[in-house]
Amino acid sequence: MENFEEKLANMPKPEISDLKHQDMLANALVTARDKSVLSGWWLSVPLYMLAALLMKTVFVPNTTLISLIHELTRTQKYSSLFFFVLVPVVFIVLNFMAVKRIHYLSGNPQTMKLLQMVWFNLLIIVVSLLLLIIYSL
Amino acid sequence: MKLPWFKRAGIFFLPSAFIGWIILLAGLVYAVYVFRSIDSTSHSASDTLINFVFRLLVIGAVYSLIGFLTSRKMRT
Repeated sequence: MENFEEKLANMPKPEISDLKHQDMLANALVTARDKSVLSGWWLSVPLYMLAALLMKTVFVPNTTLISLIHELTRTQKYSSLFFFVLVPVVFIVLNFMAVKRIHYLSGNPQTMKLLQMVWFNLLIIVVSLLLLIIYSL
Repeated sequence: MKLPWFKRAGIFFLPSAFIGWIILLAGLVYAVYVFRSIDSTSHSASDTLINFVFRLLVIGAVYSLIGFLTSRKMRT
């Protein structure tokens, strides 16, 4: 019995160098960045359309961005709905979920620390909201 | 086929497997085809570029979607 106690005392304690939730947080950060890059590519299409319409307002007299968007809605009903409504909504949801997961896994961090981790996702959400607002005017 | 086909580097998804290179090549070939198609009917260089950049962004968006979906190992 004494021998066993001695063995127990000398026995190395199991150590976990990496916590599982750290791996999960690292994975969530990589996924969030992947999602933000994907969102950036998809949002570049409506942003380009918006930039083209803005240029058109400069060169065509008596036109406004809103009137050109209304014209686009009439002539290209489904593609404008896809790029100005469906794409922003999908990417708002995707990026919001990514931010929420990082917030949860990092244990309610300070606002600045969270902003450093997910600033691009938040930017994508803001741009998507702007596209939705402009389209709904 | 074994994933991943792509790995992300900055804002691009780069191929990391043979099938990834095939997809990238197909995208580039399609972009060239689109450029030639637009150029044959356009009235000026700016007309070509304005239409081509739009198509190129759409091709890039679809390519990045494929890259995103195939850049992770499948969960077993």
